[in-house]
Amino acid sequence: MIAGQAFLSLVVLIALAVTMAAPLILAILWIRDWKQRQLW
Amino acid sequence: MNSVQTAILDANTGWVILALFSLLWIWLGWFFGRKTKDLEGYTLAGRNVGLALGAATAMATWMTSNTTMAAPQLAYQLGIWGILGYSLGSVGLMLFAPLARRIRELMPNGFTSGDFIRRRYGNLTWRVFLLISLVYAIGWLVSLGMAGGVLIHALTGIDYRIGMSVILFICVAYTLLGGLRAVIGTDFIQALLILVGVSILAWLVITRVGFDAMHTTLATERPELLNLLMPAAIMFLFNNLLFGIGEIFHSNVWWSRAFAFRQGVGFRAYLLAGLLWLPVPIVAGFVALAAPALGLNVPSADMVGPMVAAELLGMGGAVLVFIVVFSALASSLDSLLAATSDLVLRDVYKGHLKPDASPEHLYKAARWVVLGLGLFTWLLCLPRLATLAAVLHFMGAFVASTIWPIVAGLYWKRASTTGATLAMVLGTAAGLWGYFAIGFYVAALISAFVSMLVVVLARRASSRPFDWNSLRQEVR
Repeated sequence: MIAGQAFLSLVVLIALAVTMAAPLILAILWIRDWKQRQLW
Repeated sequence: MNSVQTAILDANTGWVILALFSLLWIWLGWFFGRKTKDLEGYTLAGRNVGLALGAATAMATWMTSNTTMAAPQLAYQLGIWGILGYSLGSVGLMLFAPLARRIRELMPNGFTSGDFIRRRYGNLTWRVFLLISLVYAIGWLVSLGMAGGVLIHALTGIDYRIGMSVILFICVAYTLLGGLRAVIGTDFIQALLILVGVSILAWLVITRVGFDAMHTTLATERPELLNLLMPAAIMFLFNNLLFGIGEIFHSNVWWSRAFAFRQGVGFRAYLLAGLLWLPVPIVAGFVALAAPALGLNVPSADMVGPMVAAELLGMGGAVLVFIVVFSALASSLDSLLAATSDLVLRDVYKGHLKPDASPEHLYKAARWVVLGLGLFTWLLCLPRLATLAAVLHFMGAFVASTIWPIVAGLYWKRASTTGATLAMVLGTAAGLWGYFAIGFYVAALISAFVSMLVVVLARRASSRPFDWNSLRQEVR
C-alpha cells in the first residue's frame, strides 16, 4: 500500500505546524513562569 | 568511505562555531549555577523547577543527535514508517508523566532512581538495577561522545578525537560549574535552537522542492519508502516504542527531573514535552525524502540530512545543521553526565563506599564525580570501540527488563522483591538471547515480555503489602 501525496503532505504539515509552534509555547510559558517568579 | 569527503563545512568555520558555542555554554553554566550553595541546589536544582524549563529540558534531553541525524537516515532507509516509528519515542515521555507525579508524591525527598529501588525492593534488587542502570548510562554517554566526534568529523572534517574531546570538555565544564541548573538552563536554549533549525530546513524543502516533485520522484525511484506495509519498518516501530519506554522509565536522567520539578509540575512537563517532541523526528526525517527529487547521490545514509540542507541553503544550511546537531548532542550529554554523576554519588559512593558522608561532603564530592565521569567517558570514546547503533541496540535487552519492576513498584503494594530481581535478570538474559539468536529488533520486545511475566506471576506469590509511607521519610 503506497502512501498518497495527500497523506504525506498532511502528516508533514501537521508535524511542521506543531514544531514551529513549540518554541512559541515554550517562550510563553517561560515568560509566565518568570513573571510569577516560578522559573526555578 | 572517508567522511572528510562528505564534509559540508570547512574546518575553520567548524572551529569558529565550536569556539563561540563553547564560550556561550560555559558562561551560561557558570551564570545559572552561581547562586548554588548546597547539594540539593547542585544535583536537583533546588527541587523547584517550573513548567517552561521542565518541559524544555525533558524535550531537549530526548532530542539527541539520533533525533536530528538518525531520523533522516531512517526515512531514507525505512521510509514513512521509519520516521513515524521514530516519533513514537515520544510515547515514553508521555507515559512517564503520571509516573513523575507518583514519584514526587511518594518520595518528596528522593534523590535517584536507585534510592527508590533500594527502599522499595531492598539491597539485592537495588544492586542488579544499579548494574543495568550504570551499564546503560555509560553506554549512552559513550555513544553520545562518539557520535559527537563522528558527526563533527563528518560535517567539518575536524579529526574524530579532537571533535569528541571538545564536545565532552564543553559539557563537562558547564555541568561542573552549574550542576543541574546549568543543564536545565542550557537545555531550554538548545531546545529552541533545535526546533527553529529543524523547522527552517523542512520549510525550505517544502517551498523549494515541493510535495508534488518529492512524491512523484519517490513513487518512481524509491517506491518502497512510501510503502505503508513495509515489514521491517513496522517491526522497528514496536521495538523502538518499548526500547524508548524502557530507557525513560528506569533512567536517572528522568527520575532526577521528577525530583527536581516543583510539586505539581512533573505530570504537565512530561506530557507537554512528549507532545512537542512527537513531530520533531517527522519534520527532521521528512527532509531526507527530498534527496531523490534533488538528484543527490548519498554515499552514506546518515549524511542525508546535512547533504539536503547544504544543497538547499549552501553554506547557511551547513552552519544551521551543525548548530542543530551540536545543540542536540550537548543537551543530551549534559543531562546524562549530571544524572549519572548523581547515581554514582548517591548509590555507589554514599551507598557502598561512604555511608556516613554528610551533605556538605557530598556537595564537594559531586564535582569530582562529574569530572571523573567525564574523564572516564573520554577514555572509553578514544578508541571508537563500536558503532553508535550497535551500542544502543544492545542496551534494549537491559532497559526493557526494568519497565515492569518500576511500574509495579510504584503502583502495586504487593509487587514482590524476588519477582523484581528475577524479572530484571531473566528479562535481560532472554532479551540478549533474542538479540543474538533472532536480531536486534526483538531484544527489547522479548526482554519486556519475560520481565512482565515474572513480575505478574511473583505478585501472586507475594503476601506482605508494602507500606508507601516508608518512602516519604527523609533519605538517610
